[in-house]
This record gives sequence, structure tokens and C-alpha cells, in this order.
Amino acid sequence: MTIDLNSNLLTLDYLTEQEKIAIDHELQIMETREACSIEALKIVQLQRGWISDDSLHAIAAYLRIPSADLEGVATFYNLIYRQPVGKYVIHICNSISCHLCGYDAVVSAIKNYLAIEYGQTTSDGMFTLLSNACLGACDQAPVMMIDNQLYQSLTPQNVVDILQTLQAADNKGVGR
Amino acid sequence: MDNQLLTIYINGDAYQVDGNDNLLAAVLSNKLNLPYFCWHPAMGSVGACRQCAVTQYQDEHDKKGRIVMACTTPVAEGMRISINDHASQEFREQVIGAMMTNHPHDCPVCAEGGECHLQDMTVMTGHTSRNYEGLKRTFTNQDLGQFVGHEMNRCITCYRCVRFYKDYAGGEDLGVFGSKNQVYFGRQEDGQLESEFSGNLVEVCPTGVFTNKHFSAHYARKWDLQSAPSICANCSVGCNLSVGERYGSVRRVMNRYHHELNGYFICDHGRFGLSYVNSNKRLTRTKGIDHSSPMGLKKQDVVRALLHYRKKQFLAIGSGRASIESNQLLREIVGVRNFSTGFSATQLPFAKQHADYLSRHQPVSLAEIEQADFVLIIDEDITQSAARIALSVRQALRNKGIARAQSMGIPSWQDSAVRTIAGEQKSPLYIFTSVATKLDSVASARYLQSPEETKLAVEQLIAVLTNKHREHEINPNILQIADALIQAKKPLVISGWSHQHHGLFSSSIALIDAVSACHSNSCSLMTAPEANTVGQLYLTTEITQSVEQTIEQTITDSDIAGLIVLEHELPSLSKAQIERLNSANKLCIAIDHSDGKFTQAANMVLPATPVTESHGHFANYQGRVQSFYAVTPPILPIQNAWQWLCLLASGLEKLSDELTVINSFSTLHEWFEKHVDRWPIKLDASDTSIAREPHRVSGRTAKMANQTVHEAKTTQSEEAYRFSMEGGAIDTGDNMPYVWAPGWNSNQAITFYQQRPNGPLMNRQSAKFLSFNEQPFHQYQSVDEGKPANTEHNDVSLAMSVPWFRRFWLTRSQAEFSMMVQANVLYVSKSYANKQQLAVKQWVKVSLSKKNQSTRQEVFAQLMIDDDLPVNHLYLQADELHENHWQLVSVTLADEQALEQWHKQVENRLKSAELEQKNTLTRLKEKDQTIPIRLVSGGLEDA
Repeated sequence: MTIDLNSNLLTLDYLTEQEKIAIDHELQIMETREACSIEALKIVQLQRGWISDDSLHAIAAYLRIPSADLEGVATFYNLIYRQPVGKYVIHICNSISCHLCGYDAVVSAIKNYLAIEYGQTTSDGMFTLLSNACLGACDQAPVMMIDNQLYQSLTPQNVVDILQTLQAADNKGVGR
Repeated sequence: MDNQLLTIYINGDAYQVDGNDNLLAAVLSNKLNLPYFCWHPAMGSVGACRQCAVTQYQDEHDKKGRIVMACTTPVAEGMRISINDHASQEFREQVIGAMMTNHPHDCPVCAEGGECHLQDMTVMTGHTSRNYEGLKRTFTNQDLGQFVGHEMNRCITCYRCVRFYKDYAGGEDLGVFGSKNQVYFGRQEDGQLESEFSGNLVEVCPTGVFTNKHFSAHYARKWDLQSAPSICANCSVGCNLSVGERYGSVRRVMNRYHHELNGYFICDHGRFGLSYVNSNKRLTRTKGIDHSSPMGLKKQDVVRALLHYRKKQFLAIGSGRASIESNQLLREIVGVRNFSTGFSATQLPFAKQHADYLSRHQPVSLAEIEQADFVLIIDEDITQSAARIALSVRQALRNKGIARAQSMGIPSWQDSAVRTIAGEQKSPLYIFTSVATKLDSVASARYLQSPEETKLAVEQLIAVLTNKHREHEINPNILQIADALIQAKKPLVISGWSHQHHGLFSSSIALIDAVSACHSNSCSLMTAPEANTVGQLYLTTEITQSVEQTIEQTITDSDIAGLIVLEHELPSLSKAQIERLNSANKLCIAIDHSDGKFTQAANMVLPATPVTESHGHFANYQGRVQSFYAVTPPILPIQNAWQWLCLLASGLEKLSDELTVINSFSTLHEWFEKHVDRWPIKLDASDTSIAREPHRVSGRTAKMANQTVHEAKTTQSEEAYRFSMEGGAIDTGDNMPYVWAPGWNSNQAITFYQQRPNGPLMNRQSAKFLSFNEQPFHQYQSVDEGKPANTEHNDVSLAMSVPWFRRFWLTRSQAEFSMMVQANVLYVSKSYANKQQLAVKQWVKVSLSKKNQSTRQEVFAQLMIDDDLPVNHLYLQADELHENHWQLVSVTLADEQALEQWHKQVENRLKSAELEQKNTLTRLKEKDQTIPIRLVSGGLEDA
């Protein structure tokens, strides 16, 4: 049993002032410190793109809650990333309605087109593929969400179009 | 709330149930079978597993009903439910079916098999065939350290483990990660589980995710274990244990339910700290006695060895490790004047004051602690010295939140709702302490300071409570504590011996007196160092000498022929003293089970039984007298200490001849009743003979076949228990050797022996307590220790932070505990570090001296800042130091070479401990092949 002597040293300077101010604001609103977990994770992720181990420990120390608790929150929610993700994160719904309406073909089309599996990022750092439990649009199944935008009534064809549009838009952006 | 009895109809029959219960508890309290997973009698309901579904009907005309979860449904008068209707039966079967899609079919190689709650429930619901043909989810397991094994594939996500570890026991390093079909219960990374209660995961987990590593390494099925009711010998709480044995070696320890004490949970010291009984440090032969027969030791051999010492005077030292019987008998043999109760010169004043405290106060049980709504802890790290008490204190802190929930109409068993409502609200806990403790984070306020400072604070608090103060002289913090105390319905004060400061100890008792004078419903407790320390207090008188005095008198007094030491390692015995004892030609007799300093020095060693092989009584911190029984009979010449003492009495021609023919525990007790004043124990009339082995035990006639084709006779014992599978039922209330009920092979079967789940046992015997009312030390006042020898750090106090696995010498000498290395750290205040020109994380050499002695010690430690520390107080956590009797001499920067050498030493120690653990396992497994054929356990003459 060894005690990590670094744990309480590392954390204090890790978070930026901006992040601390935003977290402090949440702390004022919430009844308990642990209730700020989700917001704090979102705040840091907004700045850094994902939650690294260092970020996780720093937030836990700042909130004064066990980092194992925070890890539980971070890994529970699909929108908190514990690994670096691509520019676009594809959250494809794998709940029952989507399954019934052709999810399998859609997800294979994505996997084939981008040559990645669940949890992987394309080599150009553009796309990450993740599943999501129900996006709440069962009437338009199958659905996915990219960059807060909901895409409905997907087919193996139109999903590739969507990805191509995103790629094209991005290339233009770079060229400008 | 009062227990209000209601009538409900289950399957059409009327049953009486407790109106405060949920439906599941109500059904189980009527001893009906209803499967469940996530509910736990001590942890309440969360409704996570959907297993306890029943059908509830509107009224007697409703034939259809609706399915409800029993654990989250409160009972109501006239309620109608069914547990054997088709709909709810099918529902429950399908819940198991769903769980089984991912549960591996590895029962034959699972350590839980045969006592698995999941197995029991699967059978109970009738889910008997496999339907799912897809792939099963798999996980990577973690190394959770020395005690608990991890096999996540078996998980059924009932959440009991985190609910126990985090919510109930306050552990911070076990969590639940992921979601949906990928929920993982474990640590963030591999490593030793940090909670003192990690072993309870083994019992809390309804299946084999968390298993006992020691048990798995040397395994036997529950049905093959021979068990006996035992008492934990590792601290003063006296938790009830069920110890299991197979082929002559102790395999494991399980919790044995005790409503007033441990309930469903014990600490890791209790569960894993018994390994010394299997160690190669066990004494198995006599020393200093010539055998007359090749067949083994005879009674007359012992008598002959003592011929020269007949009628001579002996001094004796007893101990808090030995039973009440052994200590009493030793005292009778040498006489009150010559008997030391085993307390050192430092401890003796504590002992006398503690006895005095017990004459005026009855310490509370753990169940009563959980009722308290204010707790004050005075410089005793109960999380390490009596961990089970700390667990109860944690539950007491919930009372404020439970009351708030109740005011909103939410019953206390609605665990998740109550915790949400409680939020961060806790009943007040105030801690004065000289070291950081694991309870600090849940305290209303924690004052980290020297015992001397705490003594002043306690005195101020007394002044406030007795109205002898002037307002402006009192620290506002103290007024705050006093206010909270007076407003509480049931305030509790806790202290103990660990700080080793006499002045603080007296003030603490004075405070308890003051609190009980001004608050009629207040309560208190004092922890003691060892399992039977309070039993020793009962034998301590005004004239009782300390260990040091006794050794010194043995050396110098020419009338004294020798010294008898009963289960005491004599830590203070010096080499010089051993030489002087030898040159003075004194006979040193050691009666002990494990090799130690004194057994090596003694001329005569009599191997005694440890707690797992003996029958006797301990008195816990409350003075509660509890009996323990042998799990396995000893192998001669090992005998119960009292059997050796009867032989000594006969050889030394002490006491009446009657004693010399005592050959059973009950005749010993008859002798005590006749000859001892205030003999406190009355043996329960045991009319039944209970089998220590379950009726399914295997290999009764076969397990010795490699040695003899004859079926060995069962080892006889005159206790209530038999070393056999033959005997009466196990339903003996307090003293069940193991728990089992039809259909319930796991420890959850205890429900069928309780009045209601989490309630008292049905066949409960009344508790017996030692009475200290006739204590001779009236208002004992100790002499305040003077400030000891001059050191450059005279004004700086130093406290030791000692984890539980370093406190008890038998524990820390075991391989698995030496492998639990903790970082050596010296905690100081920022201003101290600045003053000494030391920086954080620097390695320093801490020089120490023993209080009032010339003994010196040096340890290396890394410097850390604790901002709560005052400038004149430090605390040290160091693997080498186990007690609080050190004085700081100096703190200097460590010399690199010496430091490197020390690091190497630590590494070597780890390596040799690892090797030792491996060797012990190999030795025990080899031993399994030649099971000792024991016939009788009645002493040497029976061999």
C-alpha cells in the first residue's frame, strides 16, 4: 500500500483560472460539491477536448471528492471523453428502435467508409465513432448525432453523404 | 419509531409484520423464501436488481394484481400479496435469466461455489436451463492487493459492493465505471484496497466477483469446512467470528452475526489477521522437559522437570491475549501478590484508571453507537485501533439525514432516497487527534494537535459543562462543541489508550463523568489495547505490579524461584535482563503458542493453543464476556494454557490436589466457582451436541485413507460442539458454528435465525458483563508524568500514526502484512519546515528516543506538509514504529548513502516476505496429505 505523494501537489496549478471560475460558479448553485461533477467535467472538456487522467485528478481535488467517484461519472456519460477524440464525434444511437429500423446496416456503412471500429478515431483525426443509448428521436430512427446536430432517418447511403459533406466542409475550411 | 405490528396476507394467509419494514423484510421475517440481490438487511433498499418482485392485489376481489418490487414497497395494514403466483414467479425467473446471459458458467472453479447467493437464488427461482447462446461480456480483472480477489465477469451489477464500500464504510478507492452492459466495479487502477473493511466485499457480493484471496489460495468448499464460533483476538471490540478449518489448518474467517456488536461486518484485521495460527512460528514442542517415553510427553515428565521447584515461590505475568480462565488460574497458582496482569509500567496507570472508569460507566455497544447523534473522539484513531467501532460511528453520523428523511415521510430503509435527502448533512462529530485519521473528512471539526493541547481543550470543555468557566477564557470552538453536545439526544464520547498520555486519559474520564452528570442520556466508550484487556483489568488490584517490576523482582529477589509468563511477548525484555535471569538461576517458564522474545529466552517452553484451538472467554471493551471454541483440536503436546497450568500447579505442588485431576473445561469452572471470589462466568448448560461440520461434509472415512485403512475414531470433546459431522442442528442462537438454512447456503441464511432481518437472534442468550462495581481504585489519580529528559526538541511533540496491520506483533510478523508497505512520511506544519529549512518531499532522518529511557531509534521518512498542524506538533508514519512512546530528538536531512541502504533493506524484506508466503502455502498444502489422526482432546493422559 503506497500513498501517492504527488496527488495533492499536482492539482492546484493544473486547472486554468477560467476553468476554476466556471467551476466555482457551479459550486455556488449546487447543493453538494459532488453534484458539480458533470458540469466541471464539461467545463474542462470544453477547453481541452477530452478528460485526461491528470484533468480527472485535478477536478476531483478541486471539488474535494474521491477521484474514483468522478471517474464513475466521467465513464457513465457518453459525452464525456476519457480518450482523445477526433474533430467530429459520431454518436450513433444503438437503442431498440434504431435496431429495429436498420441500425446494423447504417453502422456497418460508417465503419466501412471510415475504416474504424467503435471507440476508434480515423487516422486523420477527423472522426470518432461512439454508440449512444437513445437520442430520443425514435420516430425518425435510425439516428445519430454529430457536433450537437441530430441526423435522422439514416440509410447506409445518406450516412456516407453526411460524412462526406462534413469532410468537404472541413477541407474548404482548411484551404481558406 | 415504535414497532407497530400489522397484518398482511401473503398467498392468502395472514402474517404479522413490522409496520416500519418494507415488504421484502416483512416476508423474510416470516421465514418465507423470496429471492433478492441488491437489498441488504443492514444497507436497505435501492430497487436495482428487480429480483424480489411480488404480485400485489387491490383487495380480496382482485384476481389479477400488479407486480411490485417488495424491497421498495412499504407494508400496510391488510395488504394482499402473492409470492407463489405464476406472474411474479415467471418475472423472477426471467430476471435471473437476464443476469445469466453474462454470468459465466464457472461455478466448479469459483471460490463462491456452494455458498453462492446467486446459485441459491437461481435454484429458488427455477431457472434451470441455459437459453442464451450468444457471446458473454468479458472484463479484465484487477489486482486488489493482499486480501481480495477480483473476477469481474461474474458480476450481476447489483451495486452492493460500492454501496457497502463507499456509502456504508466511507471507502474512496472502489468505484463503479461505465454504463449499460459495460459496468465495471473496481479501482481506477490495480492496487491494495485501502479500506479496513475491504474483506466484507467477499460476503456482501452475492456471487464470486470478490473472493477471499487467502482462502482461495488454500481452498475448501464451505460444506467441507469444520467450523466453530470464535471471538476475534485482534482488538478489544470482540467481534464474533466463524472460523473454518480443513485438514488441520485454519482456512478462513467469516463474520458471525451479533446484533449488539459486529452485525454483518467485521474489519480486515479480524478476517485476515488469524494467519499466525498457520505460521511456522507456532510452537509445537516443549523445551526443557525430558521425555520418559518415545510415545510422547507424559504428565509425570512435567512433574519430574519441576521437582526442584516444588512449593517454591514464583512470579507470573498474564496477558490480555490469554483467556479469562488461563489468567485466573495462573493468578491462583502464584497468588495475587505475585501475579502481574501483563501491563507495562506505562500501561499500568491506564489500566487502573480504566477499571475505575468501568466502575462508574457502562460502555455502549456498537448497536447503541449507531443511535448516537453527537460523537466526540478524544485522540484515539479508532479507524486503526478498533476499526469496527469507527464503522458504527460512520452510521451514527447518518442519523441527522435519516431524521430529515423521516420528517418527509421517507422510511430509513429507502437507502438511496435517504442519502439523497441527507446530502452532506451529518450528525456532529468532533475529533481531537494527534494524527490524521480516516474519520477526519466526515467530522464537523477536527483539531490536529498534541495530546497536551487536547488535554487543555478537554479541561475547558469540562469547565463549560460544569459551569465553572468564565466566558472570555474559553475558546469559541469549545463552546460550539459544548452546545452541540447539550442539544444532542444521545451524545457519545470515545477515547482510548493509544495516545499514551496519562494526563489526557484522566481528563477524558473526568469529561465523561461531567457529560454524564449534565446529560442523562449520554454514553461513552474506551477502547483497550487487546482482546481480553478488560478481563485483565478485572484481575488488577492496588498491589498489582507492572511487567518491568515483576521481571526485576524475579532477578533480584532470592525468595523467587522463577517466572511464569502466559502468552505475553514481553517487548520490554532486554538482553541484559535475560542474562541476569539466567545467571540468577531462575526458572523461566513460557506458555505461548508462537515463538517470541521470551519463549527463546525461557528455560521451559510449554506450547499452548491459540484462540482457534482453545475454549475460553474474553471480555471485550464493554466487559462483555464472550466464549470462543476450538475450531480444530490441538496436536499434542500442544495444549490449552489452562491444561498446562493445571500440570504446573501439580508439579509445583500449589493449590489443592483437586486441581491436578481437572481434565475438562467444565470441571475447571466448577473449581473456580468453589475457590475464587467474584468468579464472573457461569457456563451455559450445554445439553445439545452440535456438529462442527455440515451434514454434507465429504471424505469422513476417506480423507485419512492414505495413512490408514481404518476409520479413525472421532476426536472427542466435552464441549457443546463435536469434531464431527454428526450432531444436533446448528440453531443455537449466538453460538452457531456456521450459518446455513434450507435453500440458503450463503451467510444470508442468517435471516432465518433472526427475529427479523438485522434484528436480534431468535435463541439469544443474555449477555454477561464483568462487574467493576467493587473496584478498589476509587477515583484513582495517576501521577502526571514529568517532562522527560532534555532533547533539543523538548517543545515539539511527536505522535505515531500506526495502521492496523502494524499494531499487533503477531499480525505484523506475518508475511502478507509485511508486504503491505506504507510510505514513511513525517507530517509537519509549514512553519516547522521553514524553521528547520526543510522542503516538501525531502527525505529526512528522524531520531527518536523512548520516553524516560535511553533507547534510541532512527527512521527515514519523506517530509510532507499538513497545513492543519500547529508548529509544535508533528506526526510520523513509519513502518518500523508501532507504538506511541517515542520522543523526538532531531529531524535532519537524510544522508544519501544511508537512505539507499535503507531502501534496499525494505526491498529485501519484501522479497523475503514474498518467499515466506509462498513457502507457508507449500507447507500447508503438503500437510494436507497427512492429516493428523487425533483421537481425543483431553490432554496428555488421553494421548
